[in-house]
Amino acid sequence: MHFQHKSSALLSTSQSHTENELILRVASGEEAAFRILFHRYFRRLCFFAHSLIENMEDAKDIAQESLFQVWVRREYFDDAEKVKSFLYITTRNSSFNYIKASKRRSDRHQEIARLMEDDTDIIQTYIAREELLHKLLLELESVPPKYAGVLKMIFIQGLSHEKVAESLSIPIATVRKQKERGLKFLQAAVLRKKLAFFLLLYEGIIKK
Amino acid sequence: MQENVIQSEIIGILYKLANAESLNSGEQRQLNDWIQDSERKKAFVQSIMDEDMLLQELILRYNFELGDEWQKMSKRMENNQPASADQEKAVRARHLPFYARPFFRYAAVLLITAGLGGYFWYSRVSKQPLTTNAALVAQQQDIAPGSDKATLILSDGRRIELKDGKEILDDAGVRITKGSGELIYGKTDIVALNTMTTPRGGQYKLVLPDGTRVWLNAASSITYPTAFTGADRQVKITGEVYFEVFKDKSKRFRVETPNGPAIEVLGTHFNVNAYQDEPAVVATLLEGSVKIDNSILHPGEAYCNGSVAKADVMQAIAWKEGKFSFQDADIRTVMRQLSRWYDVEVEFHGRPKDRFFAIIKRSLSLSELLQALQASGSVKFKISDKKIIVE
Repeated sequence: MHFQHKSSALLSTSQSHTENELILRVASGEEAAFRILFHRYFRRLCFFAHSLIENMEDAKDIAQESLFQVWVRREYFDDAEKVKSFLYITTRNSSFNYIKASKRRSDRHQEIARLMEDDTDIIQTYIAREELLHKLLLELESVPPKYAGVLKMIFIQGLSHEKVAESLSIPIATVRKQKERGLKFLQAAVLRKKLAFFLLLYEGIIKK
Repeated sequence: MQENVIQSEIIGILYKLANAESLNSGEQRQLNDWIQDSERKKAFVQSIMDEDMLLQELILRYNFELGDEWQKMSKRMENNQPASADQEKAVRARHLPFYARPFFRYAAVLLITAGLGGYFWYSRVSKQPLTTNAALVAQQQDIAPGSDKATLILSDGRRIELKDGKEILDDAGVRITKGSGELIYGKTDIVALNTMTTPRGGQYKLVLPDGTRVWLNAASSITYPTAFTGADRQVKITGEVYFEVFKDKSKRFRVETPNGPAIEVLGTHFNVNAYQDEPAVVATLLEGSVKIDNSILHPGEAYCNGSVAKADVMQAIAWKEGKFSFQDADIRTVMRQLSRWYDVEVEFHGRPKDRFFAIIKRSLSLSELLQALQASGSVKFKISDKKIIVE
């Protein structure tokens, strides 16, 4: 299950087939398919917009708008890569317009506005970051619910094995086994190495 | 629209970098082409390899809740209003102009990302094991970082050194439990004044009799009663202290600093930096609300010298999380923090104009930390006796 470096690097061939299938269903007007698309992209687009405009509520509006645009133009899409490009480009443009229109421009906004003029390439890095994080998140979310529960309790809530065993009414040995099995789904070294450290670090700030 | 903003190959390469995997020559070439001598892109790639930052961002997204966003979209689809320039304007107008919005459950998320806005520029701390640079550390030994150390001064003047290990102390009938690096007060009606102080190179945690949690940075102190029996809960501090105030609407929590403003608190998480050798007292709020003099602070804001401004919250509390966070800090600011934590003096032989952007663990030895700072700029350091020499 190691990451394969191919030309369509993010998607294995079978996956891109499914992705394109989804787009075709959206194109035919199927709302259920669009709902799936929405859930796949909303978070990414939000954070991408937010990295530019610094306001989460407005970033959500921008993400909504970009996705709605896809729905409006659904007939013209036949390819998952094209949809992704469209979503990011639309979100980028809306964010730029937002910054231009905003009356009180923070230092950050001015910086972004300047980047717009001189170095549009740099926006690629924002997109790359979102895509990379999305890939890592997919891994986190691929952990089966049975193991995810235990991992969450141990790594996010910071509970000891004993407490987990207690609250789930299972023996401690089972807790350990499920933790190990769950961790096997996290291929990315960064997730496995630093998950505990990082989650413990922020448990005080991020509420469950 | 043929514009290619998503370069899947690059993302694959970045994924490898994020996992500390090595690239083959083809991948290395592709990456170099993509970076193309852009300093910003270079910095970005470095930031990808900073696991702590990566995970910070990951957690934010992991905790992101969609809420009723799909319902909003669904409704829009029902009406199927054609997208138009007017509609886009309407959407924007609804949320302009900027003003302090009432805070909601995402407040915690917003605080963190406000600080992350600058992360793009963080200098990377080398992940390779740092070999001690002989020139850096003169003849002397390397200097160890600070640790959990404090002195408890009881109401009768007795001084107790707090170090590791569990213990139960007694102050005129008040039970005080000591865990590793933390002192917890039991409930009592007996009122006596206690003081906890940390030396340079020390830090400690405390739980006050009302459940309020307190973190003391190096060279700081807090004076408090063993029971809050008055109309208010009042404490006095010096240095840098972080609070998670236990919510009690019937008793305001007040913090006094030497020569600083009066701080009044309502069930919150906030940091107060009142070091005498820093330019001003700064109070930064993470959650809840705080009244300072006559200003009200909202989460994500800091108070300094009578004015309230948006703050880099993560930077303000980095110390509590075991890190130094320098955001466009000048050399003197950096040295002040280092001297307190490593308990060293600083001597300037030059006047470096470097600005520092870094998040560095406080657990590094002094030479490791200085090497990291050296790697990111043009300043040179030497350690001699218990002194940092800045060239």
